[in-house]
Amino acid sequence: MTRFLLSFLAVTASATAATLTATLKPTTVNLGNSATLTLVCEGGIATTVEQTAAARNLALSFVDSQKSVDIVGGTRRESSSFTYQVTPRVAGRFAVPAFKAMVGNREIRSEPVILTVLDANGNNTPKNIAQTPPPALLRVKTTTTQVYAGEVFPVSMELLAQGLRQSHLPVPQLVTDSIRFTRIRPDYRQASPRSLNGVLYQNVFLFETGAVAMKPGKLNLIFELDVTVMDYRQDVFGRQRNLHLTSDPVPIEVLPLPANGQPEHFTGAVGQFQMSATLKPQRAQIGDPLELQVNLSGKGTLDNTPMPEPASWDGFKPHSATSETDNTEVRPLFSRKQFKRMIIPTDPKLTHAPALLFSYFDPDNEQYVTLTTPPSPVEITGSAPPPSPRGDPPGPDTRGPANDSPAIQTIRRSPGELAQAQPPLITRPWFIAIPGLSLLAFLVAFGWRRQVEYYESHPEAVRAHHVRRLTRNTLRQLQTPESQADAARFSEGIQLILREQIGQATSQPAAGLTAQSMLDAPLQLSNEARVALERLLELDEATRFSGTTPTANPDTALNDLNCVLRALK
Amino acid sequence: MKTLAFIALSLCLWADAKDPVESPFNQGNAAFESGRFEEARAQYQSLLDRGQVSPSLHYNLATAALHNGNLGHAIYHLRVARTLKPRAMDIKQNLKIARDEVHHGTPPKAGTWERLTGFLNADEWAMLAAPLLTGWLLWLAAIYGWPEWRDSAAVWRPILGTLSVALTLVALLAWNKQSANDWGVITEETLVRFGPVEQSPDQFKWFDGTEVWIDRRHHDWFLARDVSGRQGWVHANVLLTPQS
Repeated sequence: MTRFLLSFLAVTASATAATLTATLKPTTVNLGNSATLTLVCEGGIATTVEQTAAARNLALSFVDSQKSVDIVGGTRRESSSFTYQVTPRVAGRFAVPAFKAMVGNREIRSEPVILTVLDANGNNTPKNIAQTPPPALLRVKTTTTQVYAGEVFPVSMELLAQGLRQSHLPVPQLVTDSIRFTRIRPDYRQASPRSLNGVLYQNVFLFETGAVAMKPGKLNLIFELDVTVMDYRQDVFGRQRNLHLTSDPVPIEVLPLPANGQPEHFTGAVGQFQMSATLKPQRAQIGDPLELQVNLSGKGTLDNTPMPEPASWDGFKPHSATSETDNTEVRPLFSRKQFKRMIIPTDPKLTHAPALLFSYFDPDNEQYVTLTTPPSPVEITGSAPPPSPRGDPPGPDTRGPANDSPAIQTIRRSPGELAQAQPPLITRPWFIAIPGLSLLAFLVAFGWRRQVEYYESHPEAVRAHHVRRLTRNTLRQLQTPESQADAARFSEGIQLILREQIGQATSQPAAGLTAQSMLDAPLQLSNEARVALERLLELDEATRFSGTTPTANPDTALNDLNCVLRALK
Repeated sequence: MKTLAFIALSLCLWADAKDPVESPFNQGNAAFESGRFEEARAQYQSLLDRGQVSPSLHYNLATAALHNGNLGHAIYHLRVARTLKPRAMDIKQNLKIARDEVHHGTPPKAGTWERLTGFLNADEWAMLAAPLLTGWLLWLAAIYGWPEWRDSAAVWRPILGTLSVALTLVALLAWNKQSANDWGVITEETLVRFGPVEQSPDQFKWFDGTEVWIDRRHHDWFLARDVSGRQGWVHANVLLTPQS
């Protein structure tokens, strides 16, 4: 009896202690942004919460719920929380209504919280904004309020604007999680201007698309859009404004697929579909590949649908399948997908390719449907191949459920060669140097060869080069004091230069030139140069015949020589 | 005394580095085997943070991320691993699985250039081109030095020349493509904005694993473009890119 009383008191105390607390973060937002409303139920588990009143000018969208049980100091404490996204439509101060929940048999309520919404000018007074129709509206319609998870349902969105100032039409984006469009960019069409609440909206765009709910549960469809429009409410000439539009939430209940009657081959397709299969070629030898092509089409989405499988691949060795979604389907609720798979016959007794099975859930009739392709006739010739010593590549496990998606490869045991990240080889100097040096060798060899060939075909160039070099070297020697002290050597050097230069100028061999022939040579010399040449020849004669040191100054002789050389040039 | 202490410390570090059980790579493998993928990722990442790189390290990190449901991280590291070791089948397969997951079984096809040259990495192309180019240039240098060799194997010279020049061009282009850091992968669902500030209005969403090209950077924001041509600004926190 005592134990019963204690238990009763404990239960009563826990029910009494259960509370529901609402917190809003942040409590002030700019128009276009959202706040997060968190409802925490402590002292008990609330399975659901419910608004006690409708929220005016606010869109509440359920985000998440959590439950937790903690044991602190031997006391069990239970709590649950619910998160909502609160999106205001106009500036102002709004009360987020109280929520109620049932804990045990007792109803608990939260307090309303206030959300302040600032407009672009930082003003939180709605003034005319709420009284006059807005310059742009986003409206969403759907023909259904209850769909199955994975079912495609139509969504039509309507954008009405007084004066749209955008060349690129933006697409409304889904705010609600766990919902996706069937098309990345929905098709749209422009409708004629429409009058609504006394306001003429010149730009009316209709977006028609399909959406798929992926998780069961209750949710609100909310779309948002940023537009630039002309606002004529406060200025007759209009003022350009950037608006963040949010649609009214559309409640949708997403039902889970029934577990009863779910076929073994069901892979998640929901809708109404057709299937066809072709096998090419229809005559083949053992080991020749055959292409099995399967086309799936119909109302619903096939994005994640794998290739239909037969009950068994006996007699065939199937390879992995490829698939391609046909994006040319213009109807947003419909899709087409093509699969191809190479199969290799291994049994000469085969007469048919196996029938393929494809199961889907039909939401209209609320039942599972299994499609079967007729067995494709095939004629196989040849004898069975001997077993490969290394073994054939394994086919799929025909006993288990078929799956054409490969498995994730596991990790590697060894890290390999762990090293600091190196720059690419092509940027390292030593690597560039290898072909660089060979390029240099090629260029040197090429230049050298061209020079050799040039000299071979131009002997005058060889002579000119020889005379130039000999003149340069001899002149350098003549300028040394030792050479100038030796009269015979000095004169011999001058004569050598003169013979080589005059021989080149007259195209005669230098060795055959005498003093007289040099004087008689048909040279275009100035009087000064000719006199200098005569002096040099006289100096040579004097040196050779007298055998004594000439009286002439070496500098004078060198000046004469330079004068003659300049004239010869 | 200081020298002795330094030698002792070096020996300890060396022994630690050689200990196969205690290395972060093996610790990451052990965590992966026991299903602690987040811890495995952290161990592999610690090696990357030290500047250590190997295809297996990127691959294991990506595989742990893939098991953990982090498709963006998985795709990024698999792409890096594929650049280092382009013919590894396990890398290719996991990358395909991750991309299939992101694109619902129909990922965008690789470009023509990638399909033609993607079986070798930039270093491999360079190693293929450099000896041929060097050999061809030395051969040319030799026949200019010794013209009597000009007629020997004259048929092969232009073939070798064309091949080496073509391979050099391919190596340069492969290096240019593979070392490009103008790509990235989104690592979590994010709003794509009109401008590079948090207050900028959003245009649309990108999901975990979306692969993008980067057109411009402004402080911590990237102007990125996806395969369908949609362009917008995303914060660096949600983008894994070689630039970050």
